[in-house]
Amino acid sequence: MAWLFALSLVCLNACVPNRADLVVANGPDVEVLDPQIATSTAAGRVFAALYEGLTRLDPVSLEVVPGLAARWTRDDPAGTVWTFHLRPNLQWSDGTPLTAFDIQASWARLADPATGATYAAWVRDAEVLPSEDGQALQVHFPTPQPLFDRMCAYHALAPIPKALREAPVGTTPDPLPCSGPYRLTERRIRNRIRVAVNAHHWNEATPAFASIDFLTLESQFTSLNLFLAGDVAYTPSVPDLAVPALQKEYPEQFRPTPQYSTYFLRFQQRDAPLDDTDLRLALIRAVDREEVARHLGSTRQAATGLVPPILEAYPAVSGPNFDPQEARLALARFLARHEGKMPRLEYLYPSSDFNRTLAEVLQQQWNKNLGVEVALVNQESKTFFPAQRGLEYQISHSSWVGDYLDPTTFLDNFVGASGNNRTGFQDDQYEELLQWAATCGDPVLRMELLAEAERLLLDQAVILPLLVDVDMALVSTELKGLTPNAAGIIDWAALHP
Amino acid sequence: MSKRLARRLVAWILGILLVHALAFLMVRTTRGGPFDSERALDPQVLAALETSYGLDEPLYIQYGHALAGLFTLDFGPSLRYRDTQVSTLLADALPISLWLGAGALTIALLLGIPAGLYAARRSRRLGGRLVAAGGTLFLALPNFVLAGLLLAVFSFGLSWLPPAGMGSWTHFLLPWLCLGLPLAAQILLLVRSQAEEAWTGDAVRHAIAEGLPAKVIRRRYVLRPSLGPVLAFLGPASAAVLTGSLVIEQIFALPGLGTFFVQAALARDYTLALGVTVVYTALLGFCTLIADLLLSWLDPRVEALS
Repeated sequence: MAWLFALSLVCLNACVPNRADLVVANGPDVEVLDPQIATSTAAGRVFAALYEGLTRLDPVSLEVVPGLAARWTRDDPAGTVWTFHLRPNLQWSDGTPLTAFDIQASWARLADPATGATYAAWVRDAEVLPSEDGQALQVHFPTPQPLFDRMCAYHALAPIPKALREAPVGTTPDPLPCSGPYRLTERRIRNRIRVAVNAHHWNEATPAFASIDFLTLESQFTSLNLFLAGDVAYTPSVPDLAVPALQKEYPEQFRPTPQYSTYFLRFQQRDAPLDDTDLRLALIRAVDREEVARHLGSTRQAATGLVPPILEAYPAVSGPNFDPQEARLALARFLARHEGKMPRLEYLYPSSDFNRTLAEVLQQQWNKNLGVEVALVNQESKTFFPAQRGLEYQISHSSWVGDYLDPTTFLDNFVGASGNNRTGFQDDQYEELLQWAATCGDPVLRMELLAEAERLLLDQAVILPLLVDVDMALVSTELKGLTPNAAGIIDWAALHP
Repeated sequence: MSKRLARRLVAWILGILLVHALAFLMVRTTRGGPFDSERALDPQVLAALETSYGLDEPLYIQYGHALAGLFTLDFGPSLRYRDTQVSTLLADALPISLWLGAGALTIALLLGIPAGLYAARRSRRLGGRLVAAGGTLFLALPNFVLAGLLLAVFSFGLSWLPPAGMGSWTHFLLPWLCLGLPLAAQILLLVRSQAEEAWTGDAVRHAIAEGLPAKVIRRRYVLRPSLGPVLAFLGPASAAVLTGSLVIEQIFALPGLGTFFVQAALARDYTLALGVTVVYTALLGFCTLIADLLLSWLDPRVEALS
């Protein structure tokens, strides 16, 4: 035992860290330090420090503001041609020039299927033409991309350095050149990521915190413990159990903010019995979403539609609501067509405490308001997703986090060819509305068309929107400059003590 | 002895190969893949990824690659941590698990053996009964409950110890106690039952009649026979403790191996799952071997019998 102890002590001494100027809890691990591959919100927080896109979102107004590009133009009303002009003398954190050629090569890598990027389709058909001096680039799309400037704020479209573009599978370049206000100084898997100020960033205003530690903390309880002990100044989420106490005792630090993210149910409508609209309507109308939200007690709000009511420009859309009487009538219509026989119904959800509680509340409501027994089936997530994708379910738990602030990030999922549809729903009128919106130059009309599409989706009882997710971050009163927002964006360089 | 050792070493290596093959079969035939998630990957992208990691090859070819990786100790890149090699992940996590486990084992031995001997010697008195009851209590207490209690007292009540993280040895005190106390309780109860038997046995009675000093009786006729079952228990228990604990690692935010065991299987990270399984099997075999050797040294009858 003694030799094991001695060996461990030697190894451990090498990994005893000192503290950064700012220490934050960052939730689950950032599995890949590649902004084109990682898609988690935890990764997004780190990438916001390390990488910058051509544009970025202002954390207060959520408007698109200049990032690496000083200015840009949409060269046609539909958005098939965009021109971006870079800030002068951009550099990577190692001092090498960052040009439009880097962006061209980065997007080529993103589009390459071999990269394995979730967002490969965003630029697959794009033709990227850098100017000769590398200070500007023009992007041509075969189909309209009216939101491309907004999409450029997402880390998947941020340029990545040559070292990362050419890194073999299973390796990370060291050092890793960065383009954001911070650069990577250390990464310990399942422990922490440390960043320090990038002296080569275009913004000459030095961030107040010279270094930041992003701690990997899988357990929300541990994050909360560290916050309460004063060891971290920010934690992205808290256990649902702690919400009432935090609201009461830490009102300044705990300000839950609705997110562009929805929990909803999918109904598999390719096969019987849920191919029957009346049965789906009955199940939808039997659920009191306000009661669901109250029961879960986690400050998540009841959802009326799929698209969270965050954007002022987007009209509020509501589908069939809670109405037990209408629910029973719809069920009676279904039973009349099926000789009064009620089929067995199953609700499939991925294993987690939250999902189980939600499933039990729904089961209880269907039983109470409709007299229908729904069996609950849980699967661990890697089994659940193939089952959902293969339509091997009747009713299933679902959630979606918007990639950018536009209704299409939710609505595009339900076109027939989308891999994220997973319901069997296909409707020509729905797809026409989306296509019409995509080519529409009038922003007000565009939003009306999208709202109409959402209304159609809800009226056809394809999904049951349940809850709008909330950002349940805890922010120390000693950390200033962090504005909670619907997109969960943090400008790390703007934070100060 | 050397023949026996050689036989055990061969069995150890065969055991690793067998467990590796079974683990490969299990992880590769379980439903779901490493790239399944809420967001569907484009079929072209998925196909390219599977080609890149060799997952589109026939299973026997993939097993061949995995076996070659086992012999070279190169398990390939992790499928979850796609920019990191499994060997790097293991090399980073193992020292933390070893440090955590070694501390817990030390606490378990330092507390468990003396407490067990004390409880046996005073089995009819209040002190002995209290110690035995304490052992039963710590054995029954789930380690997350114990962790919660220790955190409430030492981190938030007295503010003596940090609640989680890695920075100095003080960060390890609570995890050591959480892992070590239930183990100490098991050792205590094992030693107590053996020592109680020894105290009432013929050997001790004979030694007392011969007038041997109490110290010699305690060491030779009580302690020595009591340690046999402890060593037999410690072989597999050490391997389990040294390879980490999911609950303790998550509560105290320690990046040891324990979490990989569960995460790798759940994430269908085939390469990492095989890597941690091999490390655990190798450590289990090693610890059992050491325990057996110690047992033979402690009680030569074991050697003679085998």
